[in-house]
Amino acid sequence: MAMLKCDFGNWINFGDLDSDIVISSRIRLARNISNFVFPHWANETQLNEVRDFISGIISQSDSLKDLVLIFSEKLVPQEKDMLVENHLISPAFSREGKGQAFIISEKIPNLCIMVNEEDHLRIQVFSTGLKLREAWKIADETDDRLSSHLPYAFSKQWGYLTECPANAGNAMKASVVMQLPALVINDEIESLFSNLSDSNVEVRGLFGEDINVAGDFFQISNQSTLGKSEDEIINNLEVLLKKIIERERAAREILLKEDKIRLLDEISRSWGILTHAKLISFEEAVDHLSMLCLGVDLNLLSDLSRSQITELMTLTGPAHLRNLMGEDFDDDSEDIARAELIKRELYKLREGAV
Amino acid sequence: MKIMFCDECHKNISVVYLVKVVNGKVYKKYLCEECAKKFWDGILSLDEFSKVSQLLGEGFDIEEGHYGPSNLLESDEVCPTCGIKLSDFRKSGRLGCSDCYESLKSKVSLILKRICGDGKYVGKIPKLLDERVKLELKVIELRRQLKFYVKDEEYEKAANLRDEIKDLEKQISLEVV
Repeated sequence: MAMLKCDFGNWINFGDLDSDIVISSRIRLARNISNFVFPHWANETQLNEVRDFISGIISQSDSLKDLVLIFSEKLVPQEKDMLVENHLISPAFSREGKGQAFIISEKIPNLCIMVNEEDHLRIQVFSTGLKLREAWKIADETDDRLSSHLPYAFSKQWGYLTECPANAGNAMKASVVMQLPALVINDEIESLFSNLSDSNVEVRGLFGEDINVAGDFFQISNQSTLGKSEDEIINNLEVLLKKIIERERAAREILLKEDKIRLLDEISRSWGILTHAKLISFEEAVDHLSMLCLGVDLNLLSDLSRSQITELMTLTGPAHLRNLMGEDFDDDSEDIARAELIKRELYKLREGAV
Repeated sequence: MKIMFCDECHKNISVVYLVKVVNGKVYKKYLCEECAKKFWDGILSLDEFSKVSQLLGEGFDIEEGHYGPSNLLESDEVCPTCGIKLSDFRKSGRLGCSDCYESLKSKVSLILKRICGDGKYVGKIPKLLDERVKLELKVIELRRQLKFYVKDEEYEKAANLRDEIKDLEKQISLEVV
């Protein structure tokens, strides 16, 4: 467990949280090694061969010295769940495990490379706020360092060759997490997202794998990557995100001007539930904590900061809660423990809220 | 692979092999993309078309008396490198290795065209790549840039770029020799 207590586990709370609408940015590059079977079809021996090959290259190359490769089976399931809750690795990656690994860097805290997920390598760089360009720069440099040693599968026609051909091209996924509570309250969100269907972007909820969106968090990312450069994709996405940010800001203004009492009522109710509930699920907690975030952004809640609330959101995830409560933690008592933790923390933070 | 021309228009190169089954008898047709669309439109919506998983999905098998792109090729193609069959790919949407892009090209290029249009690769290039391929990709990128300059009427920049492209092309021809 000691390993995951190192700084990279909690990148969400790093640095300035200057942006109240774009919570985080991520760049992901899919890469495969020539002459190795893609992970989906590879048996355990073949997966181990890829992993050993990558591991060998990393340990032999001076320019890759900062990279540390950790075998998945060395982590207990709970540690993997924590990485999922921090949005560092995908749920699928956490479940499979055999022949997989992830690579972190001693120099770059917001880098996490998955080995043998859908592709041999998925280089991911995370950042708080809207910083796709900064994240891309780090991913690009890391990718160059790796591609100086690893023979990537690449064709001049299709670009980087991926297990699923739909990802081929420059194989970059740029995504951001946005919190859009005012657009949700004003019922504008559906029309907004349906208008996006032509713009080569994909929208999904952040929490939960299906369309059930908790806490007004949305993940927005580019789709196909063939025929467009990485810079073009990031530019297009940024233009679009700026429009969404403007609309969310406008919706917040309208709410404040025309419906302040309703807004205060909703925030106060969330506060009431969070500080009085005896049992609370993760989804419900995220929904109400998200309302508190909106309260902070609109200066309706004093003595609380957004980073304190988002930290509480991470801490109340099932795996984090388990980690905090220790080994004897019983499945049934999760919702009770969550309710108690939230109540205690919020009272601690609050000296004169609402 | 032998190039076949479209059995409908006899003009374009075929990208699809359609199989029609009537009363147990099999009729075959090679079709180009345009002509294939006419047959496909009745079976799949354009939206479905764009989704690889559905394009490859199980629910796509032909029914008696209908045209359908069920078996793109009569025999199940196999990638000699990894042993993955076209039918495996149809079921899972996943290729077996990087060589599949070449060995199962008929299907893969069709899908990529559906998703991305005729877009050529643009983007970064791996460090270990062959020098000549690097130069070729650079030329493609510069040609794209040239179009933008012409569109924006920046003729001086365009002229310089054209010279640069010519130089690179000369280098490429030397590399080949």
